Amino acid sequence: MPIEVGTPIPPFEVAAVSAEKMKTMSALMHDSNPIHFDVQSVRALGMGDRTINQGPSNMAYVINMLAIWAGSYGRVRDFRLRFIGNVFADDALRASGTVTALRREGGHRLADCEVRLDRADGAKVLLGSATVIVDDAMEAAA
Amino acid sequence: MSFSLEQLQASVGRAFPGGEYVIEPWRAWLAQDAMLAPTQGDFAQGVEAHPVFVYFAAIGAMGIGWDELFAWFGASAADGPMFGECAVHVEHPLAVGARYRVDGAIVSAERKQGRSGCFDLVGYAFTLTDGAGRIAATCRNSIVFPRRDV
Repeated sequence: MPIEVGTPIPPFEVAAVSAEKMKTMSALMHDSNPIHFDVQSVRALGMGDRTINQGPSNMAYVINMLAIWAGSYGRVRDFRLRFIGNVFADDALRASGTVTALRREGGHRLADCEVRLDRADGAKVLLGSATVIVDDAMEAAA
Repeated sequence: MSFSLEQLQASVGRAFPGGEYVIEPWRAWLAQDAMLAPTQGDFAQGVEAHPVFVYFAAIGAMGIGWDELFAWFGASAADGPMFGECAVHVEHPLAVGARYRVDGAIVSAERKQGRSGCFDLVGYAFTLTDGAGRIAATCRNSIVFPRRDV
């Protein structure tokens, strides 16, 4: 199936965001903000009773989708994501996207894509764009 | 005391101390597990790293912490600064085990009026240079500082 303008990217879904993985991310990023690991702090700030996922993790779900579709991390060449909303522990998420343009540059065939991350309740989390290298093998596999 | 428009505008061009960042295999493993990312190979030296490592490297080796960055703009975490946007360009995919030089600076600063009041939108950007001296990737981010006292 050819990749063309309007082709949807197979979505990447998260059944339930893990509070435990937020703790790992806090440690990896030296991120001391307790909203990512301490429910008491989230409550004290009036932000609910579930910890809040790190923005880079939310970005990663979109990039996971692109890398799985394109075949490798190295094929994801650009992404620009705007942070719109929060993700809380146990939220279900869906990253999705659509090809908006195809072009050739530097010997590569590139697909420009519109991408997004949404919570299952419909709230927007990330909106943006990305560019990935596409090739004939992807079309044969699609 | 409020952070003046003049102070805000004067911040453009201010350089981060910068530093170096190594994508250690154990860090790649843990990050990909935490981000539910697909694994590629066995995290050995040279395997492509997840593109989010461009952001991790930039922030991890900018040479100051978040509190100090907020203080550059007369703010603290208690003021509720928020991520605005993250834009990454990858020229040469990052590799597990590789070391990158990180350089960066404040590249834009604007005072704006939104529905919820005044805020400052600050852009900051980084380049990652690999061991061969090539620019491997760039990362441009923005942060929003609410200005309730302006």
